[in-house]
Amino acid sequence: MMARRLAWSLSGLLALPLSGCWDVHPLEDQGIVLAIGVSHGSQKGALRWTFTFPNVTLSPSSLTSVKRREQYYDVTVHASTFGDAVMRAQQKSSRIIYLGQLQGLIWPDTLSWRQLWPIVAALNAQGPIPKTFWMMAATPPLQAVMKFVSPQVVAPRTYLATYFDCVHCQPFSLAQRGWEFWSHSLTPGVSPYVPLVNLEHGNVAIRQIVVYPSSGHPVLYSPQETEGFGFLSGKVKRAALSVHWNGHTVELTKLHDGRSVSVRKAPGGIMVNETLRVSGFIGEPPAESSPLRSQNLIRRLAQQRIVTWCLAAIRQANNTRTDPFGYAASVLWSQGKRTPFLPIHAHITVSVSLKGEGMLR
Amino acid sequence: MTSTVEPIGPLQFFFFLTMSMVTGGVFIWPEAVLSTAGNNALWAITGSIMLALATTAALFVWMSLTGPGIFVDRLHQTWGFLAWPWILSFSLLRVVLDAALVTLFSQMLSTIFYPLTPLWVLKLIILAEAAWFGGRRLTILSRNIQFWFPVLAFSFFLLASLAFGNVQSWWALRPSSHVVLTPLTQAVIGTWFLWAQTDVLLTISHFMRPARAGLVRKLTVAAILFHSVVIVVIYMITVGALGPEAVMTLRWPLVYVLSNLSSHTFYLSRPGLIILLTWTGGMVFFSASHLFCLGMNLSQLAARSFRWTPQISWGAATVEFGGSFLLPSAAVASHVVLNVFDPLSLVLVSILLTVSIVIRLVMNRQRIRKNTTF
Repeated sequence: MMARRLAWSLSGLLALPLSGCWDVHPLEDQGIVLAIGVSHGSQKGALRWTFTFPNVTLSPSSLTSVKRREQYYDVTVHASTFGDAVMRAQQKSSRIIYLGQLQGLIWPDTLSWRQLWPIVAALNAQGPIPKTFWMMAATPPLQAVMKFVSPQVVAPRTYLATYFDCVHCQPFSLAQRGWEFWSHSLTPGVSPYVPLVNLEHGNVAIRQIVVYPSSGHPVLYSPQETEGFGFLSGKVKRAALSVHWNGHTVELTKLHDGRSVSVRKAPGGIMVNETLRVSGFIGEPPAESSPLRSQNLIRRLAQQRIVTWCLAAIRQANNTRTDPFGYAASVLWSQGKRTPFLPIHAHITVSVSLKGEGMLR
Repeated sequence: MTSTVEPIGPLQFFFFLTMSMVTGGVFIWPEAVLSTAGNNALWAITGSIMLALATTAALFVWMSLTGPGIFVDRLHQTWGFLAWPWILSFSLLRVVLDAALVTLFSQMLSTIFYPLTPLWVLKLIILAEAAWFGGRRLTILSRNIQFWFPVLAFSFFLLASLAFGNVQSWWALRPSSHVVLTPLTQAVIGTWFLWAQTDVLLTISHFMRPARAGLVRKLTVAAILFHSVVIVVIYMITVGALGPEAVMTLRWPLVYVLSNLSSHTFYLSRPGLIILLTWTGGMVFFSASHLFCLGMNLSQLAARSFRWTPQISWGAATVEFGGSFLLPSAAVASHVVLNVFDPLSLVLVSILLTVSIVIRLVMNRQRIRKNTTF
């Protein structure tokens, strides 16, 4: 009987540390980092780090009384490494800095790969940081993007995290999670990329990607090249395009694509055969001709337009020796080789199918 | 030998055997196989499954040539007094493997989930629970495994199905056309820790009812095939999501991939945390099944009865707990599993099975000749 009591008491004691209750940290003592911004520092070698926190005066009852601009606050430090930056930010804060809820890492599009990679590697090496945060480049000043507030978003979520989480909100799914960017960085034959976030007339706009070659400066893809990249890499979610026909502008909406790709080694590079099957909805077709004939012509124009964008993206990739599509990865893996870049020879076929929406013929 | 242990049913036997392999070591898979085999990794996985099936087939041949009994009884029938060094070698290797895996598991928990909890607390809880279950009667342990196994397997496959959404490097899932034998063989040997269950199969199959050799064979093959699916699925979701190069840089690629799951379908925004339950349960019962069989065999060897099983189980768990402190880091523990346990254990099992089959064939032939002469 005594032995049984002892066993129960011991198992009870053992269960206590199991839940981690013995080292509890009250929420009001935590400085929960929502976003980190990294930019060029004023001193040589040092970077400027901005940590964004939710305003601690916020509570469900005070949400309506706190101004939207005051929902977040920053701590800015100068440091050369991530670890150093966290330590300095900790020195400036009376709360324990907690990175387990990180939602975004933002840097200017001019930050070089040599400066960026140690940060990415350090964040990835930290066990408690979830690797699901979003990575993005932005046009400075970063704070404006990091603290961008929308009436639709309630703190402690940041606008950009909610935007990237919403799969239906984006025409092209260009967002990169921390783990995706990190794994692309390590895979031969793939050039990592991030979306470029801009503030235009007080609104967030994402139309371009920044691609990082294995050496040299980051490469900015134009909006057309970015759309071509989106189509070629199967990232079309709800894209829209307009074609001009016979003096009319016809809107094609809710475009999404399916694709089949074959890649093989070719002399002096790789040969890519890619077929895109794009489908979407057509707005009101012009009334001059029969709807069937006009639809066929509009479809052909859309196909030409998409092919042009795709070829522009491939051209930009070859010119800048970048491969954000990851075409070369399969060839390099099967051959067991590590080559920085293989020129891309692409044969692209696009077929567009359109449906009418609503009651109009 | 007349058994005083209550028998178990076929399903309990299947769950017990399935829990005793792969489960406790799966969280370090497939980093080692990729690092060694490179783009031959898929061939190495196929080779690993073949290796498991081949050793099990040899095991069944030996079982068919010996009389009924647990592992130690069959060793006695084949090797006589030399059964002692065999069983002690197997026990030592088992303790080394489990100590290394518990060290790796607690290191993983500490790195990713409980950074502030001392390592010894994590090890102590896991090993104490394992020893407690390992010291129970076979029916009690089997019933617990029978209850938990489906829960753990369901949660694993649920998470794996969610993780398929993150697979993007489909190209990495194609087998290479250039097969290089040396790294391939090394990689296959490096997976032996997943399948090393000779002692468990030979121990618990004795207590299964109905005692039909054909049924034991089918259930064992089913257990190996089940885990073949598990390791292939893990390979697909880790290598497919991260790419092979990234997986090679991670100590716990599966933990990494599952902790990256984010879902808006479930109420839990980070469903990957469910894996904590799966692994802890898997590790506890994996160790418990080994401790139980170790206790049974050593008890039978020393006292010709099973009554010392709980004490030996607790003793072995204590040795594992103490031994785990000799493994200061996850890198050392991985080295022990892959470069010490795997080759040693595989060589030992190969010699044991080959020589035992030859000895028993010769003994059986001599007996037949004697019977014919008289």
